[in-house]
Amino acid sequence: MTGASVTLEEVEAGYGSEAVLKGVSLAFPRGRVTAVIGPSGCGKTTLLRVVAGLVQPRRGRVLFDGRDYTRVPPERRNVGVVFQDLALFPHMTVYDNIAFPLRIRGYSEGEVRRRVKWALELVGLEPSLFAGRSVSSLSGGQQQRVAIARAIVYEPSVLLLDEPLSHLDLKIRQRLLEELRRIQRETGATMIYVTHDQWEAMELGDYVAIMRDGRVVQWGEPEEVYDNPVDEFVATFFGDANLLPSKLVGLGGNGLVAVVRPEDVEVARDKPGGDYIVFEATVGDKVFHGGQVKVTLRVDGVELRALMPRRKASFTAGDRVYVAISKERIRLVRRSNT
Amino acid sequence: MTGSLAALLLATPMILFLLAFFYAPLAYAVAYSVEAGGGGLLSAYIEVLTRPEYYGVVAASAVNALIAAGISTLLAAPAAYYATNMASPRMRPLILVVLVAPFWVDVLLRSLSLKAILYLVDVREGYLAMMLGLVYEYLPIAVITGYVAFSGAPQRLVEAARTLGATPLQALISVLLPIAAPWLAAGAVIIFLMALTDYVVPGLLGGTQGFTVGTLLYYLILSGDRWDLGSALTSLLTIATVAGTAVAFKRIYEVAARA
Repeated sequence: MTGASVTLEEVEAGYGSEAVLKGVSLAFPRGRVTAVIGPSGCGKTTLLRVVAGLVQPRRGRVLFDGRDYTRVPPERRNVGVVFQDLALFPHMTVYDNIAFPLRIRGYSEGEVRRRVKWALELVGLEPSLFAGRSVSSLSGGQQQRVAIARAIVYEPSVLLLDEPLSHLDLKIRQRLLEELRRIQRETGATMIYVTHDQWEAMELGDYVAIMRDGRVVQWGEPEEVYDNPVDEFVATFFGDANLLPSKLVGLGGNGLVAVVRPEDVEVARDKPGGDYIVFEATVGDKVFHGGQVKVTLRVDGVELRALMPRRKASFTAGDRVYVAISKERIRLVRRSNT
Repeated sequence: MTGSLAALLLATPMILFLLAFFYAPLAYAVAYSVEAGGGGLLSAYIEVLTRPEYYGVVAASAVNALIAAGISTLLAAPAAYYATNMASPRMRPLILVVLVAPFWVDVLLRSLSLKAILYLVDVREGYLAMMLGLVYEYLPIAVITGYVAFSGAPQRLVEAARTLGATPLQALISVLLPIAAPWLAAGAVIIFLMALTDYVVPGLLGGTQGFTVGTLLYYLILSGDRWDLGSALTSLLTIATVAGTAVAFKRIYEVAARA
């Protein structure tokens, strides 16, 4: 399977009088994973439906490998979609669900059997145990795997996933996320992964596209976006961020706001030297995050969050401490109206 | 235990009602039919079963009911599909109301107005008018069962089939219809049973074609003073329809359960 590159040009789409996508231009590179992330209602599912051909854009073009696919119906796009609610066919067995796209394409029954077996093994379901089961008898995680198997069995050039893991518990989610990565590598499909979960996006995406209110506000590699958010919204939505009041750090104002990641907020009992902005604060809550601890610090009625290794967090609530923030870790970003 | 007792109490009014107005009279009618014939026990049954003209009436009524059930189901299914899957969610209840509205007008009134309309286009009482009347009468029921049928076969499944490579027609045949079919069939069975003994519409619109099981029973019991024959025929029909329905619903349930 070779992936296709997908490009959206100035796409506008909506339902009835409601505009959902308000001019989206975005390129999904061939054979790579792009995570589309944004709060609910930002238009990310509609974007995915436009790529699948299930929603006709009102304006703009959809290109597959440079060719105009805007008017091509879904069945001729060679995409695989894993819907948020899976949309498995309830009247068919696991085998028949996965065989469906192959039979539609006129594969011989021998070839269908071979490929269904391949797809089931790829998603980690033992064919002899699961092929004959009805989909309603499966657990949520197993249904998820069937939906993924059905979407990849015909080796589509573009794989679209709409929050496929959102209703699974954390452990299964972790495992499926790793398997999706592996499947994508093995198949070479271009993958568009829609999620509202920043951690999924960071883990899976070669690229992330951050959406808000029908527009893509930032696109790039996850680390690049994390380190250089374009505005306050991206800074606080993609990863955690402290907004630093300008009177505290002497930066920002004039439509700009200074932000810093919690892991870049250092806390010390003694006043540190060096190129730091330093101020005194009171320790508030300490929240245990496994190997790390998130400490809330109060200064002048403002709360800051600091993330640090557990062994460094030897403070208790009420302690007076020094907070030090390296100037080069502070980013000045546009203020967003929230 | 207390839970099942409470549940039993909740069902009690309904059970009492059915006992008083359905099971007791039915038992009485059966008992009456067994001994009421002039020639001793079961003679009414023997008379009913040995009259070829009764077979003709029952067969014709069954065929009519089957056709009416088939046509109304086929007419209602696309409308129900539209109402459940295509229309915007806000419009769906309104569309259902519009489709079911004829149900709120009494069937007598509807049949008479249909008769008047048909006269305008020079269609008189007869087979066509009767079939139109039957379809008109049962269409709302078919819409309601169709609504249930296609609510279980949401548009998302069609979309999934499309992305998997199916044309709209292939999606309809391989995904939508297999899921909706058991429910559509259940609706058709209900309509068949109601249409089988209908005598208002056949009487008003059927003319000479309108002599159905319903009419036959009406004449036997109310005009002909042959209560024994009427009871025997009713008992036989009830047994046949209960058995037929049981088989049909068992089959429908099996198909639906696989889905």
